Amino acid sequence: MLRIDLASHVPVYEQIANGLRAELVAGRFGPGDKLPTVRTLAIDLGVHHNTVAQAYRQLAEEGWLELKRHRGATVRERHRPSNRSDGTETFARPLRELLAKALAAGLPRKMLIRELLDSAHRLEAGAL
Amino acid sequence: MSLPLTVRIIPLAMGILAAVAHWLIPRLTRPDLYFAVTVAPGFRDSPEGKSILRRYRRGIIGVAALTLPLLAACSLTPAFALAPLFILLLLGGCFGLFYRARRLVLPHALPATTVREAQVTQGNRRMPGGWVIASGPFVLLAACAVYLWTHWPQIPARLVLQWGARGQPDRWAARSAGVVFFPLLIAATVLLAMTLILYGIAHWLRPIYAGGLQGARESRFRRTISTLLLAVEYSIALLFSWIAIRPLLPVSYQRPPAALAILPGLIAIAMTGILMWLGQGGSRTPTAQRLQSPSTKPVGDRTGDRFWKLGVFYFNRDDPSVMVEKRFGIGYTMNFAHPVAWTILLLLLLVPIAITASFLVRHAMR
Repeated sequence: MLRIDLASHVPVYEQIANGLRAELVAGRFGPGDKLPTVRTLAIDLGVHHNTVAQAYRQLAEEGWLELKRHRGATVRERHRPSNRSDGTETFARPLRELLAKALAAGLPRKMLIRELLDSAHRLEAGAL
Repeated sequence: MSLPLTVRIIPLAMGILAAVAHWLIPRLTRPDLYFAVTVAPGFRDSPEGKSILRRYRRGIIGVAALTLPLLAACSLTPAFALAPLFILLLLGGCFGLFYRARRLVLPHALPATTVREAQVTQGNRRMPGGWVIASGPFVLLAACAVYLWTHWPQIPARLVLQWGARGQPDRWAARSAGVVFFPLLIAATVLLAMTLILYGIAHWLRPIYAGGLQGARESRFRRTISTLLLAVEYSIALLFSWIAIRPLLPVSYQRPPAALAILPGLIAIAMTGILMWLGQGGSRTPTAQRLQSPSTKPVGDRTGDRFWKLGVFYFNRDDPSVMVEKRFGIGYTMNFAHPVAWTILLLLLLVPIAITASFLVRHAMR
């Protein structure tokens, strides 16, 4: 199930890409599986076709999807890159910002660490 | 009095059905939509909500008390031609009452949730039975057209257009392609619009709940509506096919059977009963009612109130859905910001326009 919030400060296309990526990382779709067409997903979410198309393009650039005109999006075989350190800063910064926000809101540090580890395990196990 | 009683009581039956439906509708919508306004789910049961409903229902009784006796009088007197006027008066009165109630609810409006959800799987987006079943009515009409074409010499030179109360024909027309194929053309136009709606329900409709039990019952509701629509399509195809090939039948079989007048009424009553039991989007089924927990953040139909013109016409250019759930009523309406919606409306209006135009031309030529 894909959920987006139109009132969120995160752009809608990014929310769609994030939601779909979570499903793909969790292994809910195998290589060759078809995703809904841009039009169908746009209707279901009530957003412009271009917004969904942009999310699909982003996932295609990341190697998750193969896009073909009039044939929709197909999930590609994608091997996880080996432990890369060059991209760490890309994710570390938003993670730091999110943690700071959570700590500022009064959430306990231990709970946040547990939640982070749990989420990573569940994602890898395909349970999230 | 040239029309049989079974035909003459149709406007009165329609009036009663409309009044009953308007009485019931406020309680058949989703719990967080009240008189087409997004409200907290518990609002309708609050003293304010109940007071608005009482005022609305008192008004419905008044409008029904004024118009239904007039419709009954029309059925029994030569003033039958005035029946459509009184039906319009009844519907106009009901709409006025709805509009007044809506204005009273508007100060209690809440912004609907901005969260949207969708299934990522392809899902079942087929019309019930697929294109094979959906094309059945058209195949029937085409078969009739071919049959009429191949039996053209057997079609009488003068065709009966209307039957009197005593079962005697009282209006005729000379045989021509226009007269012979007119019923099939009318049916094809109406069926085309209905098939577009059927396709729209399967492909152009945004689900309000995409998953879980609420999503499942919404999906069942969609299938029920589509199946009922298909049943109506087949009835229309059968009725108009019979009308078209009637000239080739023996004279004794050409008179419209009484069942023809009663059957649409029975279908309408059965459909109303089923839809009332389900409620809008299946919200009245026992499972659905168990799922409704009181919340301050209403889900409604996930559309903004400002896109609902007069509370009944949806117009939102940013929404790619062509079909949306009705806010006041059961079933679906269209997003009038889309050209497809206007095409469907035009196809549906084409039939009354064509009939009225042919009537006016005939009178002008006399």
